[in-house]
Amino acid sequence: MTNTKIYKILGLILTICIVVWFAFAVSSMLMPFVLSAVLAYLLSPLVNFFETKGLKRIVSVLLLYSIFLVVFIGSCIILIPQIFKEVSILSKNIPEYTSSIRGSIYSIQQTVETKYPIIKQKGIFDSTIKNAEQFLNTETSKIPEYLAAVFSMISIFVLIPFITFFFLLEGKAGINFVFQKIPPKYTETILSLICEIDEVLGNFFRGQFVESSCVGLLSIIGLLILGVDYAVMIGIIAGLANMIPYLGPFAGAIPALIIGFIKFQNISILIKIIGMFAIVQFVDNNIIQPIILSKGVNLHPVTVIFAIMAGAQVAGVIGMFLSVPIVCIIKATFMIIIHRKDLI
Amino acid sequence: MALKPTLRNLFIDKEFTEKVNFLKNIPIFEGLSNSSLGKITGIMYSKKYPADEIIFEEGKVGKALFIIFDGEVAITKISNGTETRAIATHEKGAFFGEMALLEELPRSATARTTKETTLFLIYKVKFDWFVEKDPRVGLKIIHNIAKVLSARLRETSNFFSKTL
Repeated sequence: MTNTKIYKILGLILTICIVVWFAFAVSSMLMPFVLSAVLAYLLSPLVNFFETKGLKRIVSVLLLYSIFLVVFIGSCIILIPQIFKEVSILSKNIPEYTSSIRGSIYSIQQTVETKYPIIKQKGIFDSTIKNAEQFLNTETSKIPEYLAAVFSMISIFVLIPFITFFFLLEGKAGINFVFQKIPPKYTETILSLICEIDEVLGNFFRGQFVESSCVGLLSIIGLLILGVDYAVMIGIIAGLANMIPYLGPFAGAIPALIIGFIKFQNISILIKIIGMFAIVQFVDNNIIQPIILSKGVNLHPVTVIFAIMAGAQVAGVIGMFLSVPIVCIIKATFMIIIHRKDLI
Repeated sequence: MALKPTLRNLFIDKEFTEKVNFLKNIPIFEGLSNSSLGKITGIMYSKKYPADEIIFEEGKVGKALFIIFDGEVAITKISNGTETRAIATHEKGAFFGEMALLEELPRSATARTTKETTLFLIYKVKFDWFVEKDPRVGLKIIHNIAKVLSARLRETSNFFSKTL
């Protein structure tokens, strides 16, 4: 290996290290950019569709944004009143729920303490309730902090369409610029890498999006049939949670179980809700997934679970959502390096 | 009256129209509508190569079809183990490496630019995806590729029959 080649490789490694270090250093403000990049990636086929009709890129992006604006306003008109209604009912009912839960705990305490007097002697229930109350008081005092966090989230959601617009507009030109800079010798290899990563990521993101929408819709229908309150809100949460493979469906069921138990105060509703979510998952696994081929990522379940946990450790919920596609990119790259040496 | 061209300039991408008009004259896209050719531009990458640059080498697995938009490409083949023989020179509008769209096998020759050249590349994975999405157009392209390969086979047979 010549000295120039060694310097080039060292330079490349150093650049990658600096980029990774920088990404970690500014990780707290990366979220809107990462979400915008994902969104731009999801929307790019629609922009490309308009482009293949001969429209300029800027016109295509503006047309797409106009369509989304109409759809967004339409959805707001339909969904927002229902969500507001559910939120206002929830906030009105909170004192009632609190007293109902307190009543349930008191009756359980009475039953258990009558059966096992030692629990009363040791004051286990009283100390547990005291601790829980203390915890609730501390958390309630943090409400202004949570509100500030919510406002920061809102500002992020205002920022995302703005950044996505520029990603959609300039993304293709950016990729093209990089593509032009690749040494001709490696063009076919890099092109093969771009296309294969695009194929896997496209399958994953678009598949997850369609799948989650179906799961959300089915959950709303199921919860409405069971008479669980806030069905739309819980359904949306279940749909969003479903974007995280394996762990998502469980996370989506928890709010429904809590709300269902508070309203009906019996075990049978919990079984019905679990049954309903199981049916939704069955329909998802056996009908929706085979149709949309969302599992085209071809990863071992253990790899997926490890990736999600590692993602959660590094970047929280966003990390959980992005971990699988990142593993897909790594896998596609390794497959080309290991199995297709003839291309390099 | 002058409004129509102004609106056209405002909304329609000139580069796109140029690409579609160029593709119309490529034999493997013969008989395709403007709309289908527009879809083809969506799976196409363009790259500028300097003069005397290797595009692909004989023996390496081919994964893409190349169309010359501008410039010139020489196709060479190694014969007797070491000697390199020029077997063809392609110019604007020609294409090569079409077999890569059908099968993943080593390239049968080396392609090198003889002057600054702009190429359009269609990668196999993208082409397969396109055929799956639009089988009617995909079948037409595959049929056209088969016609081109058949014509080349006939030429080769004629060449051998004359030399033998």
